[in-house]
Amino acid sequence: MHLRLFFILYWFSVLAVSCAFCKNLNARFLFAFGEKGDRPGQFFRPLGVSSDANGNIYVTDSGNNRLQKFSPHGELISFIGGFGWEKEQFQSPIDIFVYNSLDIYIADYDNNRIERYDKDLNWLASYYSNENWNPKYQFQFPQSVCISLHGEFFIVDSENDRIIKLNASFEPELSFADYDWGQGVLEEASHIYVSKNDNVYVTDSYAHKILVYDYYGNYLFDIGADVLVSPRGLCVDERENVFVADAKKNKILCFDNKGRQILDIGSLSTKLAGFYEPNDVTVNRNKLYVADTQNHRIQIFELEWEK
Amino acid sequence: MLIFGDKTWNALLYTFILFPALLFSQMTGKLESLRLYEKDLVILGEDRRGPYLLPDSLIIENSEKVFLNNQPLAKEKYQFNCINGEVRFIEPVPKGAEIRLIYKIFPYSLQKSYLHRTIQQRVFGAPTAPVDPRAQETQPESEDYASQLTKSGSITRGVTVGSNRGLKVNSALNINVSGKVADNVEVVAALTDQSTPIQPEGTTQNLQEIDKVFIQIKSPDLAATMGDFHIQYDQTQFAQYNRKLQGAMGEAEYDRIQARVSAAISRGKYNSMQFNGQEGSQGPYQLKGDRGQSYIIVLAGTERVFIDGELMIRGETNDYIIDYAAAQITFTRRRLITSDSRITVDFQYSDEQYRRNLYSAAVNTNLWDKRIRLGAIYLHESDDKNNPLDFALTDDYRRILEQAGDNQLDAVIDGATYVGPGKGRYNRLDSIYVYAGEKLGDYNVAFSEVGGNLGSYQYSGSGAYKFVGEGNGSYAPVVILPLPKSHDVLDFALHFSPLSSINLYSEYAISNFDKNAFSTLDKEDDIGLAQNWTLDVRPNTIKMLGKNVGKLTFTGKYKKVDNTFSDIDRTNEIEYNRRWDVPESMSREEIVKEVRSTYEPFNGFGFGAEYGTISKGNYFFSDRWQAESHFKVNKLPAYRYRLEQIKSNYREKNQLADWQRQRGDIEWTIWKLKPFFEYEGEVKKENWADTTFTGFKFDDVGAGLEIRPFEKLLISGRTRQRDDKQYVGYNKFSDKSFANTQNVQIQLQRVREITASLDLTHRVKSYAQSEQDDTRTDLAELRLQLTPWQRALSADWNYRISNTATAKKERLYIKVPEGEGNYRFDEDLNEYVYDPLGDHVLRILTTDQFIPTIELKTSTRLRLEPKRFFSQSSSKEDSRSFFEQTMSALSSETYVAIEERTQTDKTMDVYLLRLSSFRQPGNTILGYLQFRQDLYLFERSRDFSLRYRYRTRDELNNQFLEGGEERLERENAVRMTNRLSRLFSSQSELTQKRTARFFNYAGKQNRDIHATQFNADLSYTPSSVLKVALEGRLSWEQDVVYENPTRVQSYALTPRVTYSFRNRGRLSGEFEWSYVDANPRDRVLPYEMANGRSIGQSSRWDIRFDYRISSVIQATLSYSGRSEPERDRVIHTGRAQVTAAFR
Repeated sequence: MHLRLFFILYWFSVLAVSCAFCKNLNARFLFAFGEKGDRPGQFFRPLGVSSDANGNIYVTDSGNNRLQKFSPHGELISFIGGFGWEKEQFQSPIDIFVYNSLDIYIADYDNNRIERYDKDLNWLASYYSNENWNPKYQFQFPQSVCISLHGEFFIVDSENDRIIKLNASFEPELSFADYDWGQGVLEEASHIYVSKNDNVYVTDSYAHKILVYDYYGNYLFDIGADVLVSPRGLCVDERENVFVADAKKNKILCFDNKGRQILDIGSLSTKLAGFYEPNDVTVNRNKLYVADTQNHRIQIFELEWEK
Repeated sequence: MLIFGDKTWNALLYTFILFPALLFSQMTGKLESLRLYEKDLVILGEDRRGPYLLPDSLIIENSEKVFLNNQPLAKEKYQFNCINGEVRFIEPVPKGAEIRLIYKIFPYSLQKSYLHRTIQQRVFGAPTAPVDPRAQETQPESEDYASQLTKSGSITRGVTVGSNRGLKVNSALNINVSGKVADNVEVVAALTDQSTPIQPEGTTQNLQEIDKVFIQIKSPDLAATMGDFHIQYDQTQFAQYNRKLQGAMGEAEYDRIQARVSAAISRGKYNSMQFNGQEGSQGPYQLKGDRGQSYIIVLAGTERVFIDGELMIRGETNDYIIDYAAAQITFTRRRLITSDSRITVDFQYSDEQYRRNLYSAAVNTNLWDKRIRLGAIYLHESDDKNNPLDFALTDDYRRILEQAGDNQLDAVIDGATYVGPGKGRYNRLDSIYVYAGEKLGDYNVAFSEVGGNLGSYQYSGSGAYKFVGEGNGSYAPVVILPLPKSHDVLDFALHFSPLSSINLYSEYAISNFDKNAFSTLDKEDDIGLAQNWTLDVRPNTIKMLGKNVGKLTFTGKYKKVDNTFSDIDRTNEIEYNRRWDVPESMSREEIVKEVRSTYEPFNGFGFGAEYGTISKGNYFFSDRWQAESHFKVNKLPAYRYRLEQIKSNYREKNQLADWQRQRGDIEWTIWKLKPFFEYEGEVKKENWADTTFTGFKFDDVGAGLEIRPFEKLLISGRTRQRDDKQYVGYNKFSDKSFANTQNVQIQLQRVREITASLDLTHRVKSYAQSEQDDTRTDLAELRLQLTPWQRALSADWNYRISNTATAKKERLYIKVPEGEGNYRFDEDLNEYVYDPLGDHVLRILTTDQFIPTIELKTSTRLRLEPKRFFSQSSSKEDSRSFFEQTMSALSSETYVAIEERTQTDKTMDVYLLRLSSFRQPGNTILGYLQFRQDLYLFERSRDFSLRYRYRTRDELNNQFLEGGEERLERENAVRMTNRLSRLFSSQSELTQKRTARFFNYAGKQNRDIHATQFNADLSYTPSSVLKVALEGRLSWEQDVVYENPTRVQSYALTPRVTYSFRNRGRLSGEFEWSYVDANPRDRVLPYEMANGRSIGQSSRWDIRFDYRISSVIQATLSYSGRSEPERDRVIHTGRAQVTAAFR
């Protein structure tokens, strides 16, 4: 009896170890913070997460129309916001991007603007689309924002499912991936990320894939078409590994720079390390941060690279 | 028997036995067969949430039990990380609170992880030569820190040149570095010189206030911060200091010595304001500078706001919001402001007078096993007197400043300059300056803000000042030469703890405050001394006959401050003067003696008493005593009560005062109910030598009930009644006012896809004097979110009302070099119009003129996507019925937003959204209604999709100084997008629009434009690198404000071509030709007609070439031109830019 049990256990462990060999990236759960509610430190459908060089974590608490800042250990530092369309107010803030550790940019969806705050959550500026611009460059309902290494803005215009590129002075320069873009047309643009190598990654939750463009909007290739169901927020690390939150699969996936899937974590669960409609992901110094939207929390994992 | 100390054996054990066993146990629940060790330990709370590290890792999941102060803690109150051995709590655990943890661990010494292969962190810069981390552990000296440093950034240089402008050089720099630079030394650095573009609607914080540099270097013993940072000293009484600075700060800790030094430019000037709220107004309240000036900029994040001594938190969902640029503070509906609210605001503001330098140094050490702690702090803050920022220092000015001594009003010069007839803006009539207009007067006059009711002029907008009588204004026709100041504080502190329960604290400080660094006059009052002694006795418990009889504490304080001692920052607690009943204008001199004792027989019950005196020379004396008690034990009723009595003698004014204050509350949790009762009352009697009497009395009684019928629902209600009386002498009081406040809160958390919250406050204050009207305050917030049917329907509604004041605003068009602005003045229209090559930028200034209003803001969004419902109910798309497929193709979104700031008396009409009462010219200050309805067919399909949109926006704006304006916008549009073939795609839109603007002041032309427009865009993509497109636009418009409407027809054709260099660049060109015809032709067209184009032919062209020269360098060349009928020449603009990136 004991011998049989031993063999069962042995082969089971062999199987587990073999599966582990299939991947070269692991994510180890560290901790989570937040719970449903509207008190400080609580969340109601957090949609965006980003982090600065010090490891501080910024979250767009969309259901509560606010922005919260946490220490690297998940302790609340400060928060700002509330419903409205004036300064320091939001209407459905979706995406967040920390630029240069000094500035925080938020896609304030229903207010049709990009908000800029400093690292202490003091309001700096509101950027609106200008009705006098060429209509091809105007945006409505910005869903995602990213600032490139060159300080240029890339905004997902969800009204037209296209990308608007603006220079550092917020003057429009290019719109791409619109209906007339030939290859690389977006069907339901969700989130955007511009890598340090100037590749532009856009998740398309209707086309179930990530589309990749060069810095000038030329379509290059797509990632994850066979795997992804509803890709949302994404992040690209220094080696062009693409981390993406799949809201319908309730998973976080990672693809390497060849498009191979190297990480697959999570399943539908309210338990720690499980997800319920994760909407955004960010990577900073070997840590993976996930906006676990319908569980109303942020989860943090440590990434371990295998040889 | 296995030797577990051997790593190999451990690995084998884990791999072959435990790991499969763990997995197996998850499936079968047979883990009980293994023998597990149980741990039971207690750790103390540290006033934080965690993580609290445990001595064990790899703890058996779900085996833990957690107790907080001997009360079991529910699982949702903490997170237990079994793998790492950590526990984190949802709420911070108070310092010293006992956390007891019981959990099970394996009876083996396991490591956290076992490696079959080397785990390697892939780091940028070393992808092909990974470093073995285990080798790193044994050979730290070989660590390649450079490769671990994350570096990124870019440098941009560009030039712009045009036929209507000179050469302009653009540059930008962004650098970001983070990581380890040596053993235990980490650096985080960010640097940017990127400016924020000035937005046309004034939506940008002042550029100078934006942080641009931040460098932090950390090691276990040393830390340095450079750039923009906050510095805070709060360990002493007299050297408290809190500033936002630009400069450098270093901190070191070696053995028993800690030191900190800083050298910086102080970005702001400290000021503190105290005022009472206004009944029925949540704000905004204007913050002012030290001379009472209104137009200041508060440095972001430097403010500390208190109401009744309680610190407020910034944010719409908290207590207050602040407009830093306008220096105005508004309280949210969560913090009801009344005329009894005592508001204190400490803040720093940018005064732009002199560059201010700051140096600070602090050192601390401890001796005798930390029983003695010594500390010293030196603070120096001074204006750089030779570098004034807002005036040029001439010899005459220097002489005036030298002779002014410490009196600012002696350092002024005449602000008027005679420039000759028709060259100035003012005329002089009987020594009064009267604004005549640009180039219509004889004088140019500079006015300075001298503070409320200290001047004789008032600002009337558009750069004009008006005489309002001596002492009735806040401006004077003078130029103030600010006095450069210098302030030093040196502070020594000694802590002596001979026993753990006894602390003696002693502090000496000397200050040197020179109010005019230019002058040698008035120096005798510059230097002052202060001292502070405190004895603190805190035995943990007292034992009598071996029994614990409770905790007793004793504190004695002595403080002496010279009249010439000058505080560099806030050194006393908030409401210090109220504590002692000290008049606001009293001198700094004081001697304070206090004793305090508390006794706590058992946990949760205690009482205490304190007594103290304060004397301010021979002018003022006050003694104060206080008694208090509290009780909170298990489920019994809990109470707090405090009684204060202050007797003061204001000898200088022969005033005797007797002030008694009481405050208490009691609450009790019974089943799902929590009733509570609150009371606050004060009686103050002031007897003056001339037998007049002043004083007041109030009783504020509150009661309420909280009900939680089930976990997800909370209902609470409270009522407060306050009766204010006025003291008339001889222990008699007369009625003054009566206020009644009610509050209801309901919170429903996600019950059947519904989340809702309501917070409603209603207050009425009535006055005994019949001539004063009752004041009513209503504050409400409602949030509702609904997502039924697999979110096929998604709806939310936000609703908010508040009593506020609305500040008047002013449009200010600032002249900039031609081509660098985005507005130009159109002389035909007599207004500024948008022009990307313009010579003006728009800033909107908020004035300090407030109009009391009630404010309503509400918005609702309703999105319908039947596809979501059907995709859940039937798994396969093919198996859906015709009805399901049809419905899945449809979707819609409705959005409504309303804002109304009005002075109407019919408040219920506003609260209940009776739209007919909105946007009334006589009452509304700002109001708009926005509605949008979108209907989609195949919303997400790129092959074919159709959208119908109806959009409307009605706005009435009386907020601007120049006058009111009504604006109407209506739009009906159908848009079709389709892919005709693999090569062709198109989008066309038919729009009917109405745009109307009506002005209620002279000089502006009304307009009411009805337009029909058709746009079509056809694109052809013959290859992946080439795209050719043609856009055509036709529009017919008529302006019906005239009896004989202006009719305009316009046509535009825009061919464009793009050629892509895959991954290398892009070349694009666009040419737009348009023609505008109007009838009658001699009429001036409003800017809104014909897209701002003038009658005749216009053409614009744009060529742009982006190219990546190498992986790190990219270049952009662009050329654009425009030929327009209103310009007498073709405008050419060229731009070249190179960006180098480093990664």
